[in-house]
Amino acid sequence: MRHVYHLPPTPFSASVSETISDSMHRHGFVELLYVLSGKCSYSCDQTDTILEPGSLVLLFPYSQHTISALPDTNCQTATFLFHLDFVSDFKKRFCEYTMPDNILLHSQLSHATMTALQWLVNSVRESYDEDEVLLQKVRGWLTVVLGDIFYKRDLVQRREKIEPELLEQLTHYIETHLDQDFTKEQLAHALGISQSYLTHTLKHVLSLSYNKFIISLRLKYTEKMLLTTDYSLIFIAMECGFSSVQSFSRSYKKATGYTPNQVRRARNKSIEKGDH
Amino acid sequence: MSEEIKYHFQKAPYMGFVAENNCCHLHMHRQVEISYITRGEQTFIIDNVSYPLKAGDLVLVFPNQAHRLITPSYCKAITSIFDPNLTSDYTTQLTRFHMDNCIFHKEELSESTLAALNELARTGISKSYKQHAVPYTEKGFLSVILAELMLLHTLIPYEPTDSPFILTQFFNYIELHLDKDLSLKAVSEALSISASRLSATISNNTGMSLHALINTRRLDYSRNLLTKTDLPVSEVAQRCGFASERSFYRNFKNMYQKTPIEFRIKKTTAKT
Repeated sequence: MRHVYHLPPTPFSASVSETISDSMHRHGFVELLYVLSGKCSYSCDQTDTILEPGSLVLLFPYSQHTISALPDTNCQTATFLFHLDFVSDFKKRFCEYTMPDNILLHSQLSHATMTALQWLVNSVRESYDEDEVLLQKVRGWLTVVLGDIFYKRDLVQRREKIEPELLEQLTHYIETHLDQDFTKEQLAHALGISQSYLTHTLKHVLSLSYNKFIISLRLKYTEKMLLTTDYSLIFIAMECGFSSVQSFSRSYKKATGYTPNQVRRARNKSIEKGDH
Repeated sequence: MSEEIKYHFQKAPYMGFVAENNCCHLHMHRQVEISYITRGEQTFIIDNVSYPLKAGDLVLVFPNQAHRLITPSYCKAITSIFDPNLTSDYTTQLTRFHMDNCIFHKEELSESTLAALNELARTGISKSYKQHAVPYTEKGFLSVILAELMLLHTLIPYEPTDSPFILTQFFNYIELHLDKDLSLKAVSEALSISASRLSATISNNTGMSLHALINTRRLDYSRNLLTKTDLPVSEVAQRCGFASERSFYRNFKNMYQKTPIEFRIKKTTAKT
């Protein structure tokens, strides 16, 4: 398998964005969202909330969520994504529990937490890859923030534990076999689990059927290739395991509301304008 | 005997306080100690080496390093004492190494480390711990500080021996038996080690003889009793384990160039 674009497996990443807009998605990272100014709407598991400035949201791995800035509020947010093993103190809680109320208002944060958040936001400008000490400090600040949240919020036991290693192997297998037509049986065999356990895990952790899961992953990679490469649509469709451009376009439109061609054209325009 | 408490927090993973004019006799513990001087000055004596510190200096005492501190006039310091297992990323460095130089100056420290020290000063005052709860706030800020300290100076591998164990036992024993017979023979029998081994361990690690060490500790405690209580001098001498009032007077005068009574009067007038 060549050319498939995927995120580098960094343990921690941070960004500050103005007018954030993340469509419904989920991932295996823990995510901390901190509203620096303005307001944004956030929804997770069918509940919508408007976040005030200073609010902090802790998103457990694989929870489905969407975040978008409210227009004209001068919204600025900081997002911190980190791997479960990066803050191993809390790994068990993230895998075995959920937090029904995962929002802390500005007034509910301890002084220590606000200081730690401030330093985390300051660190965004630095490069984490080259600075081991900074990464260790980041881990310290995250410990302060997470400790505070876990002191203040109740946890509810999950019906099914998350098995992060299994889910990572799963995505890795699919990433590397995306252009092949593998069966559910082959996949289960490669992971060393039974087919029924595979279906069961997907259903409980991601609330997706096997087919929908595979398609959604394939679409995720096609989208990255559409946006970051100049490969032809037929090439992308084949690389990501679709049988034809037509079936790729159909699935893509169903999931996003746009055709791949529209996405490509928008990208070309923005490159011409020099935005890229 | 309020001072003995210092030997008994072995179960708490973290203890923090802002201390003014802290003086502490020679002691050791398996916890790590970080002290940052915010005002005045203070002298740390660690493993028999003396380090004069001024405002803006930070000292890192590794587990089982015998240390004591003296405040000449005025000093305010943020002190954290914690189990090396609390800051799990640094447990190995803290337990298997020592440092070539354990004093850090403000100019060497980054803004984030200073901010973390400030936060520790805040939490130290306000918080009392629920048992079994991990103090994540302190753990986090300590990790921020250690991340930096570990790189600033060179770590030297350190082979743990059983001397820390013997010394800890020894210090614990004398704390609880200050008023009893503390001759080399009595102590070594109580700790079931040979007298020669005990005496060698003490002098190799502290540079003081057993006798001098106990004498200093007794006088230190007597000074506390003289200032903080109204006990008669004879009672003080007895509680501190001096065989007679006369030997108490002689030792006291040798050490502080004043008799116990002069010392008490001076302190009382200084207060009022």
